[in-house]
Amino acid sequence: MLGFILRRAGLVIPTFLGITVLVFALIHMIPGDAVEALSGERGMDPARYARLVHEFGLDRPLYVQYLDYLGQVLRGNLGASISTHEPVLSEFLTLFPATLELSFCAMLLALLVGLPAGILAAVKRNTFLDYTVMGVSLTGFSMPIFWWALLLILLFSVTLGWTPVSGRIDILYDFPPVTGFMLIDSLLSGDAGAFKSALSHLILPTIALGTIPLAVVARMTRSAMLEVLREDYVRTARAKGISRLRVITIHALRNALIPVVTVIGLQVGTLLAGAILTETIFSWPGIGKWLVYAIQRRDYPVVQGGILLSASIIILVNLSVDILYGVINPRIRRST
Amino acid sequence: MSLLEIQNLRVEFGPEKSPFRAVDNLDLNMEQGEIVGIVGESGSGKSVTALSMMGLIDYPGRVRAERMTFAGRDLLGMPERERNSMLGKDIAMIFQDPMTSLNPCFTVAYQLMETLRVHQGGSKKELRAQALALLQQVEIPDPETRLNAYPHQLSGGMSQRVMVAMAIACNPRLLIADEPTTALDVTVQAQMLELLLQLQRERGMALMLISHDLSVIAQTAQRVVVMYAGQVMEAGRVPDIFNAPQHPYTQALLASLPEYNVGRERLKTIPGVVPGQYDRPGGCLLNPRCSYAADVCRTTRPALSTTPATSAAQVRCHFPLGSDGLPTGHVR
Repeated sequence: MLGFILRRAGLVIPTFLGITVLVFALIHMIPGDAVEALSGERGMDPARYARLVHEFGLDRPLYVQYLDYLGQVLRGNLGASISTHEPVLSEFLTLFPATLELSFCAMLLALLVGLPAGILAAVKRNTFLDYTVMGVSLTGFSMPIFWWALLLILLFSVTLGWTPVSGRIDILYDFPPVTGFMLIDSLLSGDAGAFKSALSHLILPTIALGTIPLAVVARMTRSAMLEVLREDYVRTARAKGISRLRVITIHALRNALIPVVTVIGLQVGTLLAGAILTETIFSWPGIGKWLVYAIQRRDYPVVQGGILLSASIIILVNLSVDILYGVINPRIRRST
Repeated sequence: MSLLEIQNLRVEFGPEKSPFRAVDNLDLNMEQGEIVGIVGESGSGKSVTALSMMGLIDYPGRVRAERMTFAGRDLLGMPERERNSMLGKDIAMIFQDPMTSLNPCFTVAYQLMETLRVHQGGSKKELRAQALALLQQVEIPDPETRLNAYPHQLSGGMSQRVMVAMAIACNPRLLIADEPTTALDVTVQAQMLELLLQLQRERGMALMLISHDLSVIAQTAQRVVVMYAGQVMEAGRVPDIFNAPQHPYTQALLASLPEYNVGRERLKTIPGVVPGQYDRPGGCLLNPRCSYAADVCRTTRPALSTTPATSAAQVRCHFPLGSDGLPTGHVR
């Protein structure tokens, strides 16, 4: 098992290098540069422009800029934002808990609803329940996030007034950010109202962001369960006199989870991408909103650093999914 | 009271109005400690019969019978909880393909101990000791290590031994072995049969041996039931049936054994295949493939009747074969 983990972890290095190249190349292919963006509509005189370009090191050959960038990254220095002059890493670390909290809740929703829904649909296949679950999940999967989020806001916030429209918490509440996770921090503050407020702010973004993963998990679980339920070992389990519930939740589900876990890992990418839209619509102060803002300002270090860090998170999540895969599926451990 | 009594079992699939009968009008009795062989080509309803006894025929399949009891308990009407308490304990089953019959996600120990835990309970330590003893009884080399193995680390023969260990874990009164040797190497087949017979003798359990291989049945069973297209064609004691088959189908099956074809260039075969849902013939189900078929065979389905020749035997034929191997009272 340890060898398996090490082999998998070794694959992280080339992937990471690949991402740094991509990120670096991508941002330099976009027309315009940071100095132009900084100067705004009034423009600036060529001498000052040249001086600034030189100051930022933008006049050096691309590969020098890249190697310089890589060297800095490996030393943990992602540079400073051109617009705020704050280190990219510290900005990221301040904002990331908000995104993590939202993504975590969205994934939790997807699993808590998607897995049972998929299992039920498979066990009750070709019934009204099955068709309902699959129909609803297809609709959810096809719904563009920005549209779905607006619909949710219109219904629950504007018409019914049940939930707040945007932000993470009411401005009335003020407590020290201990962990950066609003739910935990508000609990730590000991103020029940603060926790309630944080929770109510979280509900709609969670639904908006969690719908697509939920649909994917439900459909994947259903098809994996359907396949597994036909397997010989399920018949063996039933012939042993094990209760139906145990056959489904232990013998069948354990095998069906193997493809589902893979899909869950892939959904983390979808979550971070979806977070950009969700955070923008709900004014959620996370890295999605931060990145959109940085792209608009051509804030190279922020965009580079933000994408690099997001990509690294996805790599790490996929690594843990691979390891988890090995835990669930004993055949993987030795064969690779 | 017989251990197992089945009267007029029907297993149907497909639409209610024109169902496909995988098993049709099947009668079967088994006594305590008896070995009964069920033989027939693929698609003759052997496995479906066994699965219907275990309650493993799922909707939309339908199982009906006038009577289907095990030790006096009604197998058809019993609630699921009661059935589960009986499956794996009083009736156990092993399957054709051992490599896919064990759950790939769990160790041998887990799967063995699960059966024991469900039916008798006990501490983890006791269960593990019992599991180890079971592996020793099925003669698995190095059982201590095998306990922690996953199914993909076992060979086919080893997996089937684990399946057998699991099946005998709770001392069943009836063991159903559905083609237990078919997926195994020839060298392992004989060992597996020997193991099954030995366990049957030691424990006095009844053994239902399902096979398409007549020679397997001949070596092991006391009685044999020959099935074709979901019906019993012939049933009786093994020596009677193998020496003097009364049904043309049994005769043809025997004639296609390599042992009966020594010196020939090609093995004798039975032309055609077992009829499926859409090509079931009228009259006797065998008539398109029977070399003796007469007009009455094409119009009237024969009943399963006890024959005067040997009182223990039953045959479903208008013209049962005589001791000379030729049909009696036959008019073409």
